[in-house]
Amino acid sequence: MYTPAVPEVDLVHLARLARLDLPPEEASRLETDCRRVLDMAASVQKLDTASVQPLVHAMESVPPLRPDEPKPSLPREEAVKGAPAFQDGFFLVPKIKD
Amino acid sequence: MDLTTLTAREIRDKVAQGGVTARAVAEAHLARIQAEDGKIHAFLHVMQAEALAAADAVDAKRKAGARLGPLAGVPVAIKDNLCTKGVPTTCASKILEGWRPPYDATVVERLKAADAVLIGKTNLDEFAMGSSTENSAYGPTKNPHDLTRTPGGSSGGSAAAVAAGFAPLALGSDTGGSIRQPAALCGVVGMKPTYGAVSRYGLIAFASSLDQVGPFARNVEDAWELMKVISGPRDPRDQTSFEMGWKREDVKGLRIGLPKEYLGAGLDPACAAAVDRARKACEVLGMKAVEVSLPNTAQGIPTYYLVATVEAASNLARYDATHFGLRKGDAAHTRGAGFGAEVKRRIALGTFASSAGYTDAYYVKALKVRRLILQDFDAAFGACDLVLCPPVPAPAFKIGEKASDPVQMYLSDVFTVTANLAGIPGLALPCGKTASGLPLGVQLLGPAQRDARVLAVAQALEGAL
Repeated sequence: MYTPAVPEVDLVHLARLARLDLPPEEASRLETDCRRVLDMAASVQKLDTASVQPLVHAMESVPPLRPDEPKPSLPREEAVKGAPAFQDGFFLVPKIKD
Repeated sequence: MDLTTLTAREIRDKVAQGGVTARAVAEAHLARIQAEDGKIHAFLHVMQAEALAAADAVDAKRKAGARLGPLAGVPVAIKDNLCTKGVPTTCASKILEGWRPPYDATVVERLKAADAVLIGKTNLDEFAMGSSTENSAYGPTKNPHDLTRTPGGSSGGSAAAVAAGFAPLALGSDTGGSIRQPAALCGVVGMKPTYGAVSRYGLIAFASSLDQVGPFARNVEDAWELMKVISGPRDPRDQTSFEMGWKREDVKGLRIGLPKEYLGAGLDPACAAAVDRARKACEVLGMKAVEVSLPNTAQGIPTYYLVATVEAASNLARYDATHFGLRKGDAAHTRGAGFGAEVKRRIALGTFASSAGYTDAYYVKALKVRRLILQDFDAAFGACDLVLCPPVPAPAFKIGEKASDPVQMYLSDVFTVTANLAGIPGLALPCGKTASGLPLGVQLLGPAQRDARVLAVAQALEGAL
């Protein structure tokens, strides 16, 4: 029987991809948790799905697009009110380069 | 008269007839929240001023002789992952602390148009990720039936609010069972509609192909009324939404399928007995019980956790410390500080399952099994009109009991996740109590767009149980 090995989970790499700063002990805990969930997923991997198409969405028929008509949207000052920093029409972000 | 014990229908009728004012109804519920919620913690934010203003507007409308909406004066609690204009909406996360959305979710707009009185924002597992409401960054909600136990989750605050008499109605969201599981553990009615029946515009996204907004109520008639208000016409702001018909069906003669995979080992005997009582009641009501098979049920949890986490990792990329919410240094630092452990766990898992080299083996594989699960339901609904099964494997569990073991926690959704993967409607209905007084429930699952059939059978069963 096909028994997939649970792969190494490189949390440092994943955290970089997902933009998550993790202290080492948290990363190590998450790694263990992820491997446990992937262990559970081994049953899925054993199923023969060679002739099965992926189902991305339960609603497979393509819903109609809405008419392409311009409509008023939220005023900019309303839309950006929740931003941590906004000035002169721009989002301010922390300095990333000296 | 204790106004907090009335049903939504009774409140609406009394307000419309002038027997009671909407203000008195709102004040009674707010007083109950004030007195009792300290020990339950169903709410993250009580909308005291907004509720009283909305109630006064309903009373003024009645005085002026204007036509009242179908939920006139009825207090409704809102899960805190639904956007409410100008009112804090946190998703129970530190990353959204203090954020006030600039718009209302479509379902919130529709409640306001129906003259409902929004009473507060309810607690949840952070970003709706959890099955106990213990993952809230603002502390857990407790089960009103036993304060040492969880109300379930993730919509635990909404379920507890309805069970505790804080509101006759509440909205939740259900991505893998987050309405039906807490409804079952708190002894109230909770429904996940067919995917697309209710607009998701303004529902903060967790897993977009699975998320669906739905009602909590203390009886089926009230849940049905709330469903009609929130579904309504197609919402052009949610491309997946559609307008559903509400034609009533006669329950007599319907074939009720009992899936053998749901009723085997691992099911608490009290939960199994509840299903048996409901089966007998169905037969008394003129329905016919038949055995059906949903062979891939056991694959539901791993499939769900691969699909949902991949979608979540993508959806939660928007919390970038730039557009809204918390900022603590750069995006990575903000996200590390602002997300709780379960959210990080799911982002990590979803990132892994969709990362180069693993996508086909995990995410795509899960999508294929998702189709097998849908095909199981298609086949079952050839042999029956509705499925009757348990919503949960056991009654409400203790706070802390599963908190340190994510896999055990995930398994508490084993009977609910498949409906989300298949996009079909499901409803949890109270069905007695355990010897120690904990609520028991049963679950009804219907074919897509047969929400009215699910509700009709639930209503008939409710009267017979």
